[in-house]
Amino acid sequence: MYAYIIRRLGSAVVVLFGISVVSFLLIYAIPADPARLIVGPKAPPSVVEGMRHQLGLDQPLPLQYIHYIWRLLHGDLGVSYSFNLPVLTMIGQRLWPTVELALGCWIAELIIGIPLGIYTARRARRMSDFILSALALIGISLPVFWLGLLLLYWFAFRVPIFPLGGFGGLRYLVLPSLTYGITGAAYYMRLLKSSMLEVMEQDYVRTARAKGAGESRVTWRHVVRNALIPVVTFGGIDFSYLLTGVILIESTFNWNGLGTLAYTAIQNIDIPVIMGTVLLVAVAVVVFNLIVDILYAVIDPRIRYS
Amino acid sequence: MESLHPQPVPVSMPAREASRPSLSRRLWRSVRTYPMLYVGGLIVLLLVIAAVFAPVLAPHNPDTQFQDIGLNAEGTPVGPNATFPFGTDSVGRDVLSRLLYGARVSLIVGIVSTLINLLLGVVIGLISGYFGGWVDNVLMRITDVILAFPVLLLSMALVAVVGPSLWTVLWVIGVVGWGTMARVVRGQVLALKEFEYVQAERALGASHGRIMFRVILPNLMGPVIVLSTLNVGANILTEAGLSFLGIGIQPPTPSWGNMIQEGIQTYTFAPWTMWFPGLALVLAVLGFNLLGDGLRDILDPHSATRR
Amino acid sequence: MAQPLLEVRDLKKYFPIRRGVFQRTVGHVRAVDGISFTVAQGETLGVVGESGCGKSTMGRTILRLLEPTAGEATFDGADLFKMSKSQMRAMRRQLQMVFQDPYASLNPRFTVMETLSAPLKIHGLYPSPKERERRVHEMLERVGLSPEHARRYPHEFSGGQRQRIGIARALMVEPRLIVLDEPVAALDVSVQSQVLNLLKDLQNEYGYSYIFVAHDLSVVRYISHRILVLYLGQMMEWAETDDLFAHPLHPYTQALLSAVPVPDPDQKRERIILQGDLPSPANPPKGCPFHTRCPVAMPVCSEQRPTWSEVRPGHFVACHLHGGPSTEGGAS
Repeated sequence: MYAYIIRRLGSAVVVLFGISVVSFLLIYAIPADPARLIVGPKAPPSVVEGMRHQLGLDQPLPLQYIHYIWRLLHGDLGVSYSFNLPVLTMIGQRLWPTVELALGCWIAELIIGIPLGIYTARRARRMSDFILSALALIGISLPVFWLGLLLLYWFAFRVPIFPLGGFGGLRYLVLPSLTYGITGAAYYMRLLKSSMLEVMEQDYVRTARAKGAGESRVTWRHVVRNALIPVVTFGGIDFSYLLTGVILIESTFNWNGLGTLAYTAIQNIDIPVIMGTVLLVAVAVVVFNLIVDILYAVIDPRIRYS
Repeated sequence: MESLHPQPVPVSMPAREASRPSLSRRLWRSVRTYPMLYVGGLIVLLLVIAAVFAPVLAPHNPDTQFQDIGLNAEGTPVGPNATFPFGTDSVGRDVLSRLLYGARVSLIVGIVSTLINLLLGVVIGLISGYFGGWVDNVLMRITDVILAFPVLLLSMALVAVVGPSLWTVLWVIGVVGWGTMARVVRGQVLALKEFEYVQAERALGASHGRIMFRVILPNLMGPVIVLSTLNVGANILTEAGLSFLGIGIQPPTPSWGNMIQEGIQTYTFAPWTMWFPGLALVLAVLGFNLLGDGLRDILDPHSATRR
Repeated sequence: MAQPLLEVRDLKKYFPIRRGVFQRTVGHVRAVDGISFTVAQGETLGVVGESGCGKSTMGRTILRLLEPTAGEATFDGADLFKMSKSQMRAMRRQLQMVFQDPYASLNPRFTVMETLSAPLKIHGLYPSPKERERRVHEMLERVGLSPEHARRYPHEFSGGQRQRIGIARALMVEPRLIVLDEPVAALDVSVQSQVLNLLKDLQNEYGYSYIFVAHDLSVVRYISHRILVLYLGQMMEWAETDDLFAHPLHPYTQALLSAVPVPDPDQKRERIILQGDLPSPANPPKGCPFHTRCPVAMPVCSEQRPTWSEVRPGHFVACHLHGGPSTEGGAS
């Protein structure tokens, strides 16, 4: 198993290297000239040249890449063009709100998705299953930003239970989390349902029934426990979708997190900030998937050799 | 009238056709068996009609600002009425007409970017799975890299760098979103290449090209079609998200995403400015999702990609 | 005997077992471990053994569907294993294969016409579509199907018919040697004999050589001129069919033969039941690979690998009971 974990770590390092190449190329291989962007359109060519030299843009590309990696490894993501602050500091300030929102969204997904999955699996092929499955398909098709606006309209504007956006205490977290929960829960529901239906066909479940175990005992002790395994794996895949949703939700709810930071940076073509956030998110996805895979290998020995 | 002598049974099609139930009967039975497929197909068909015939179907020019009849005395949008079935927006443009033209953007971006995903994903997945070894290793690590970036975020960054336009959005989503397709195709190829009929082609002396494209590729079509259909819906949502953030399709060109964005200013007193583009978006994505799920039931019944 | 069409010498095919961080090779599965034999023009060599003895791997390795680990395979004077991939591709015109599962070996998306004309296209034979079509029709008749079948898809045929199509595909390029990998194992018994008769008739008429891989001894007896018995990737015995059935020398062969049903119920015969499981080919027993299950094993069997010796003209065996002239006259 250690061999598997080390190999998995190795491939993660290779992927991280690939990510750094992609984000490097995005910064340096673009048509717009970063030096020109910094000094402004009216600056004389000599000033632009000076800035190019200062940024190291007059060096050959591979050399620039080595410098870039060197700085990255020292936690230096560059300096924002528009705010003149280190990108890492800016990201640090916005990290917590985003983590909080992501956690809220994920919990909402699970709270809605898992009970519905169990319910529809036990009521498979009945009317309630059919209706909920149809609703799930609609849920998957909803654009988060639009649903967010609808919820804001009804539960913050027409009936002012919750604040009209912004970042704050728990009350501020409810609507954004619910928004994502509604659109994302359907994946968990459908996955858990099909996984449960599969497990219910297994011999050990039949044996449990044959031994005279009650229906609810069979469901909870045997079916749900085993059916949750693919759901856990999907949690790893979902992380990347979650971050996409969070970006849009932050923008809809004026949530002052990384998404808003990236968004503002894009408005200002503040390339170091854009790349810093993109890089951070990609690294987070890789690390998160790595952790899920390793945990998975610890739990399920069959994985290790595949 | 029955012959006493046994006669050879004609195997021509009409003979079998005659014993079958009528066409409408069969169609109805098929609709009952695959409701998702037909409902989804119908929605997609309507969407295509809306997009293709937008100039004919639209009651007004989507860019004309009806300052007189399109706005109230206070300068606010007019609600749905006979002239403007879905009301007007903040500057007095007809929402329905803009929705119809917006369908064009959604469909073009959704379909063309999916075709780019498809081409990249199938070629990379096919080569990776077929040759295996270090080729597979390299290509799959590249796929891992592309999958590590959330599609929307990487598209945002790329569009920011290149500058927003319909073509940028389309290319960016196409080039960014092929990871899942490559993974799925690779998995299928790994299974297919062990099949005896593929081995048989090798024994015949067939070239790699023939085995990959003439033998394996046609047998991949089921999952590829299903995944692509679902992908169209996802790409439409990505485009809408980009346009909503103001870095996708630029106003005044109507896109459902930027219409929702514009609706934010007016939705407290004129909610239709936001509702209708959102509903159109939901319906379109739902259509492709239904069609994809329905196709899966037919083409790919034992799929592991169900989620 | 005249110059053999195919001569295989000391063929080995090992599959590496990889473990650890760097996927180091920590051992080998010895699927085929030093096999030598010859096949003459127009001859059928039956290859038998339990499942997992390497007989299918052997067939596929000779055709280089799997790359050999070591050995030589001289076909009509040329070593197949020394050929480049493109030379080998051209060589496949003369060496063909029929697969075990007639359901899996035909591409479900190709009509019979497409399946059968593929070999012609691949090797650039009969360039005109008209000629190819005629050729396909001809071949369908040769294997007992009708030209009308050409337009149909595989799922419209029975297992036996599909296997006829599989045979026709192999014959399209007029090969000289055909490896038949358990070609009737997946078929009903009644259909088996039809397909076997077809193969025999084709051989009589066109002089093909067959390597017929099977686990069913009665099937092999029916079709083969000579039989090679394998165990754990190694040769146990090789003899003319009648000779082998009349005087099996190796205890393993004797055990296999005792399991074949006999038509005459009065004929009493002792059935030899093998004890224990087939050892892993990743870790074959020392000495004679069969000694762990051999009913007459001697101390020497677990020490030394028996030599491959021609005990009678044309009858080879690897067993310490029959090891060379000095011990001749031992048990039999």
